[in-house]
Amino acid sequence: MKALPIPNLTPTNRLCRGILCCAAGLLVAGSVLAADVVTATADLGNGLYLFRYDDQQSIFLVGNDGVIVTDPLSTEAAIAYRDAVTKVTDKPVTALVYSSSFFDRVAGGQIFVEDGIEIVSQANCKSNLEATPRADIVPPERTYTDSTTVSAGDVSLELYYFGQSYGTCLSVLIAQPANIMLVPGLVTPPAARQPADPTLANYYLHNLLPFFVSVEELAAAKGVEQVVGSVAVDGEEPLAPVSLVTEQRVFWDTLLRIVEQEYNKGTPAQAIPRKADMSALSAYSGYDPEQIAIMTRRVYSLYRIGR
Amino acid sequence: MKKLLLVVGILLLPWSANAQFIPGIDLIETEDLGNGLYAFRYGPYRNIFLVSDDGVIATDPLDVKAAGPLQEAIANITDQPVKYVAYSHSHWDHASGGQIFKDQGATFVAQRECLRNMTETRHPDVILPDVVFDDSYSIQLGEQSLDMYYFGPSHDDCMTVMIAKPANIMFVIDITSAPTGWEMEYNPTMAEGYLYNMVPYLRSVEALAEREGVTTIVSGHLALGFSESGKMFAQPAIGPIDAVREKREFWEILFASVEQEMAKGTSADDVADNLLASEQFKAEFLDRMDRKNWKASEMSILLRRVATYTETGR
Repeated sequence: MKALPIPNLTPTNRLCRGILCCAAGLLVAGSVLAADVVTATADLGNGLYLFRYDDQQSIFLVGNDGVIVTDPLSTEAAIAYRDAVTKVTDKPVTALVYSSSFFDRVAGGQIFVEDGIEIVSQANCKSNLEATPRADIVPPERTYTDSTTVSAGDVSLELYYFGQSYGTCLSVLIAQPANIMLVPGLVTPPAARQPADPTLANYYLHNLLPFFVSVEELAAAKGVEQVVGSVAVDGEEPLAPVSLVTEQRVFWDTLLRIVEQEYNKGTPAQAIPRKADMSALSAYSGYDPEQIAIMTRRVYSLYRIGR
Repeated sequence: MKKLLLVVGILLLPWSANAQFIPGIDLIETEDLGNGLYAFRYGPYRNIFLVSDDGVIATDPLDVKAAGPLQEAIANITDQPVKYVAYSHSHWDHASGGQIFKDQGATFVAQRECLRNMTETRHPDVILPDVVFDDSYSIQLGEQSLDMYYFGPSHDDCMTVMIAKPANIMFVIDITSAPTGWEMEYNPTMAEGYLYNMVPYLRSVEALAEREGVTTIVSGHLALGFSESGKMFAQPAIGPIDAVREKREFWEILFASVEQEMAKGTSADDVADNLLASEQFKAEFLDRMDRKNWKASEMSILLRRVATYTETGR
């Protein structure tokens, strides 16, 4: 991995945008591995770092008592991830936090496991991983139900669970003292967006809006001003104002309302994209009418079957 | 013409002639499956009910529109009251409309997770279950019994299969269909489908059927058949137990095909295009389905859904 010169990301230099910004001011280290896999590390300040592998991102926190790493992503990614951590600090990894139980987020953690390390997740993640064990996934040991805090001296990671949302055990993370929030998979800077998977697999639509409202309330209560994403967007800075949470909730609210109105009119699921006015969704990042049409099939079921 | 696998006596009741669901297919139909077991269909939805000298065991009331005709269908056969309503799962399109039976004093039974689901997302037309169970439960009424079994998440997270006795016919809803399991999923986005447990679930159903000597299923939805001239007809309510194995094989081949394609480095977004162009996938999977039974656009959505399952484990 080739090291690049790196300043902290401050509110001032956050204003810079694009690839030039990333190359000159944001990356702690970056490289292109075999098979064109991009890796990079960004210093977000106050002991918080963002590790990128391909299009996935995880945060880690460096404290005076050790390092808290989150989602190792995969066996291949975790090797680069560990290298990225050791380039920042020689302190030991004391905690590994899973934000969900999705294989593409939590595989590969074995490389971080040493005596005394805590592996932490929401309780349902442990159940999920027990139901579908994989050799490359280390099961969590410490679980929580509603909230918990993982500390490493002067840094900590707060975990909050607000019910089924994207998966059945997704944690909302707040890194302290940076006071930056991560809502993995659901809120991705720089802009509110249409989900990448049009089938909306693993979206628990019946609780999605209450989930977002809970996240907004949490952010307000904690004074959070910035969010970081778990998905990398090329050429864009990794942080966005916390208002992005609300903007993403409005996307879902809009999509659900459109489908609900048509459902109540008796419009068949497959006719909704033709009959409904979808223009309110066209301004969202990644807008694709064909994929929105598939999403309406999925959302229709929320009103037809309750899930 | 697709062969009708089993012939049953179809008891067309007076009101069934009033409306057609689709041209040539009645909106409402009741079939006498023998030994006190009946299948009732309203449009594309079906349930079963069991008639004994001590009362009636009904299953999914479907919805408010269907529950009235269901009550009429039962009343045309017996003057016994409905004493139990067994929910197959918690989805509103099967579980709504039970008030008419609650008013008769019926006891509602469901797997425990159904109660949680129905409580979490209340629907004014869904009666909450009075009795819940974890793994299995048997409703006994006179000479009839309905045995309910739960094998974990599948089509939703509380789906049960039921065996009606003494008919010894299994009621399966949404996890496979008579006469064959090689049917395209109605909603290819697999809303609330728990793909990770589909194969184990269906294997458990196969083992249950083997253990109980069940050879026949009745399915929770109307299946359409097509004559050689392309004319559509309603398949009978019942079919062979092989439909369970066939659906399990459907999923196994689909999962393996997607996994193999993604192991080549194919992205989730490209899996469908590659597989639909693959001769191997055509031979191993697509050719096993009736061509009229699926469209590439629908299969593409299902393959995208399975790709996410491959990536995430859920």
